[in-house]
Amino acid sequence: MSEAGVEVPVSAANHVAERAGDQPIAGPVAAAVTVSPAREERLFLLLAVFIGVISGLLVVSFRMAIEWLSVLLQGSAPAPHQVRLLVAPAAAGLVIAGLTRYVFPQVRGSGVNQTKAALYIHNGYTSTRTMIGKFLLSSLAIGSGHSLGPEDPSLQIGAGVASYISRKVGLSRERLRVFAPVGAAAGLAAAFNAPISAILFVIEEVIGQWTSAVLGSIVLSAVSAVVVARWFWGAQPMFRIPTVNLRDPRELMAYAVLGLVGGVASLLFAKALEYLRPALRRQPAWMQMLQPAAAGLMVGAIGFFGLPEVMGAGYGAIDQAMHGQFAFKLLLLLAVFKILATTVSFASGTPGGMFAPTLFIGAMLGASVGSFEKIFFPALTGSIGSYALVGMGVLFAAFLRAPLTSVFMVLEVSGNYSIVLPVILANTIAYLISRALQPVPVFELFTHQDGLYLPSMEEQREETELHFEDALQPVAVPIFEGKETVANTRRIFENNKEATDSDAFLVRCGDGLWYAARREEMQRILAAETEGGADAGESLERRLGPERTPMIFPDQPLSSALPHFRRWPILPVLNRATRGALEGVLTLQDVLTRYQGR
Amino acid sequence: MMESSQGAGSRGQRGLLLRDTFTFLILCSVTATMFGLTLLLFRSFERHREELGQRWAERGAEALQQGRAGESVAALRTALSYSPNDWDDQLELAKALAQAGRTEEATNYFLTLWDARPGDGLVNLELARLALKRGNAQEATNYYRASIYGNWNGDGTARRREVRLELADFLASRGDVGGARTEVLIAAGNAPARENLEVVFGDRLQALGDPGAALKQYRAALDLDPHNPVLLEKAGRTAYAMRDYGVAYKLLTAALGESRRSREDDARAKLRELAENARRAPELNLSRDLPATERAEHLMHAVEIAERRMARCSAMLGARAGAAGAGVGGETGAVVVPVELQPVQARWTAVKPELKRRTLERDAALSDSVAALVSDTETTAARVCGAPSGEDALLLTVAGTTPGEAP
Repeated sequence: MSEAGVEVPVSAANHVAERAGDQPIAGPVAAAVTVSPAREERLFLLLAVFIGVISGLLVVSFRMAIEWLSVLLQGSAPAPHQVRLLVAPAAAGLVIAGLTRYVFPQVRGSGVNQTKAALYIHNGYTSTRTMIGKFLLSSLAIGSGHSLGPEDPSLQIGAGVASYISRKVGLSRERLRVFAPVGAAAGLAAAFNAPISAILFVIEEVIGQWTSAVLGSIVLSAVSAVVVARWFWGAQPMFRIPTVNLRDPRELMAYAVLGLVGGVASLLFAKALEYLRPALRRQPAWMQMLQPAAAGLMVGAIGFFGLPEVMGAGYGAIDQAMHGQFAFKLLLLLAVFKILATTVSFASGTPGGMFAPTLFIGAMLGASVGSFEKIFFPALTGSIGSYALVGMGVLFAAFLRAPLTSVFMVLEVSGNYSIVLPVILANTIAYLISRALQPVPVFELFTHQDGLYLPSMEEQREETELHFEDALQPVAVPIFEGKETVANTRRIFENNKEATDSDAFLVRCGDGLWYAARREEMQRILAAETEGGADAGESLERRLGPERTPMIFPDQPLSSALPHFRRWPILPVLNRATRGALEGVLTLQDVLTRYQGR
Repeated sequence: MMESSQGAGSRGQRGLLLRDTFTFLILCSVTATMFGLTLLLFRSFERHREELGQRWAERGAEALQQGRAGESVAALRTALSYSPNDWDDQLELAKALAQAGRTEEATNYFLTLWDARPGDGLVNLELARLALKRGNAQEATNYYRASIYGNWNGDGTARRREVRLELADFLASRGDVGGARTEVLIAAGNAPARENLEVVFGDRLQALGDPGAALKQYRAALDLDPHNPVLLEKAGRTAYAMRDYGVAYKLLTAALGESRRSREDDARAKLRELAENARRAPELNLSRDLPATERAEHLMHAVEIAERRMARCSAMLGARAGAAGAGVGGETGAVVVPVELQPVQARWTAVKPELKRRTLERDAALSDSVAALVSDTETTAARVCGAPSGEDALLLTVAGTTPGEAP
């Protein structure tokens, strides 16, 4: 079974096929509604708000459930040498394994890949059962102390809400698909209390491109979700941010070191997951049933023997690190053990996210670099909180491979733009190191391990698109003036050897536009004049009628030329500055040759 | 036919509109229901968290009061995990960290609180104390001043005064006596007229070497409680130290009178001796400001005392030298002046012929020289023969520190 939700049950797949077709959709609310684009357009924005609000409410409940379970299972003050720290995650692991196997088979993993799979494979379909399972099992896992975070499950819960609502309302397959990122953004925004980061993450990691069609809805849903979350939790950011500043430009060197450390740490983290996850998945089924419990026991042991901060999402510890509450060695220990704990928790198939652990590891590494600098270069060091904050962004950029989101997340969480320079520097270094040493991003790695090949957003971002200018050829076809009479044109045509041999012709029309004619078309027009069937004094452009070749320019995507070749034998490429001036021409063969020779 | 299709289209549009309205209403009601449920759960959740937060905060505060700072830190951290924005708990945690000796962590925590409320008097005060611990004097001073001008809840005047006095102590400890004195004087100027406060300021000023200002404070306190024997004694002693013997005698006598009912003990005996000294001190006043006749009379009296002291000291040193079996620099049986006293003895020998009352009345320079000799004699004798008592002690006090000058 795939964590990314490859194996949609047959009934569910049928359900998708039934509900997501372009045909009228039946549903409790909208039975036999004819899909109308105008109606959908109206509903789309309105539904985005409802999706945001409902996702926000569910995410608030999800967070409550986690905290409630945490108190219930780990006690109100988890501390080393409490036996329940060993028992709770192990016992919860057994329950989770049973429920995952028999009731909610698609809830394993973080939720980001599942949402991408829903978008690219299942037309945006996320089953309600998966959404409920994700809510229940993730909250149980995180609440019992498994080293996982609530953000990625929130993202999937949001996508589930979007999928459910859009199905019930009865929208076309195209709309169903785009609702998945709308819900994902809402869920993530509510979990992070940071709408911009959520929007950027969904664009960067789920959709992969800025499309105006869904951007408005994503923004609406994310903002609605955040409004709801803030109504309950208050407007304060997730962490109490200390004074963040750049004391001395030389301090940037320390941030560069942080980028280096973060890049290496993310590599270790990714490699550990890359090795352990498939290794555990290869085990027999009965052993897989025990894996969440074993992972829970390991994480519990880390807490029991002295580091309870590693258990759960770890926001409290991030807050403490940000306020310089941990000594240098403890910070390093926490980072190392968090990597270990998260690797076993996640690889065991326990549902839960990677965001919070990534932030945790980043904060600890950042604070440890800050503490180190404070010890050895006290005059150059700003607050440790600055380093912890930048560290969070660094791991986010390097491990999750979302460089833009990582920068905005730090800015949004801190509300302080003076930190932007260190953030950009450290994140870029970490991102480049991670990319160089781990070419496949971690989420993509998981999809490959699951046998899926979802589009790589990183590759998409970096893909270079061919433009007209890349295939442009000099004008080698005869050009006729449109204002010439047909009779004159015929004379020129007959006296010009080059013209008689050419398969296509360009006609310069009076308004700066062009007409591309095939040889047969030109011969037909000129023959009509010879046979006296037409007025010999009539201008050529008048004879050609009102239709003109489309205006295309050298910077436009080459692929957009293809549909035009059905009608036109050749495409004149125009200069943007001088109306009607030719830059060159393109034939279908030129375009194909360019693509083949790439 | 056409009319019929138009009617069908219109009906279809109406149907769609109704359907969308229905959808919208359903979504609204579902959202409202979910909102209500979430709110209900959230309130219960918040109450539970508040209770937990309160419980742990109480445990933390209790541990802190009992000096179990480490335990308090853990409890308060737990409390804050349930009520992260509770200002009092945050303050308590920061204090607990400081008390546990985790200066760096405490500083960081207080700095976070400072970010939230840069004008908070208590936060600035704690940061000043932590800066002191870290040995950063300038930062400490800045935070002390920020604390003085910061916000305090309710008892701002008193807290600002306390901080100012703490700052004064800190400045004095760094040797900035002038700065410390200024802070105490400002605190005294801002303080309401209360006996205990005047005493506090008086004591501080006295400790900072400003007896005049101290006496003023004691007098202000005495205006409020004129029969307070402790106050009278403090004021009397200060006046005595200022060599204002008349005032000192009055105050010390009053102090003795007010403490009449208390049992006779050493302290009272010493106080009585001090009062007696104050009474007699004017007789040994060798100041130039005195009329020449009176000064000459005082000088003659002082010379007698000094000579007696000189003789006693010589005899004592001679006896000590004899006991040790060694001569003191002269032949056996002759009157021998010990080496230590020889320079003073030489000066006495030189001045002796002119030591007449009339000469002293006429010659101010000679009077100054004799006054200096008296002072030097007492000082030398005190150094080589031990601390003086009785008249010698009084003479040393009155004339000792500024020989020849107006005391």
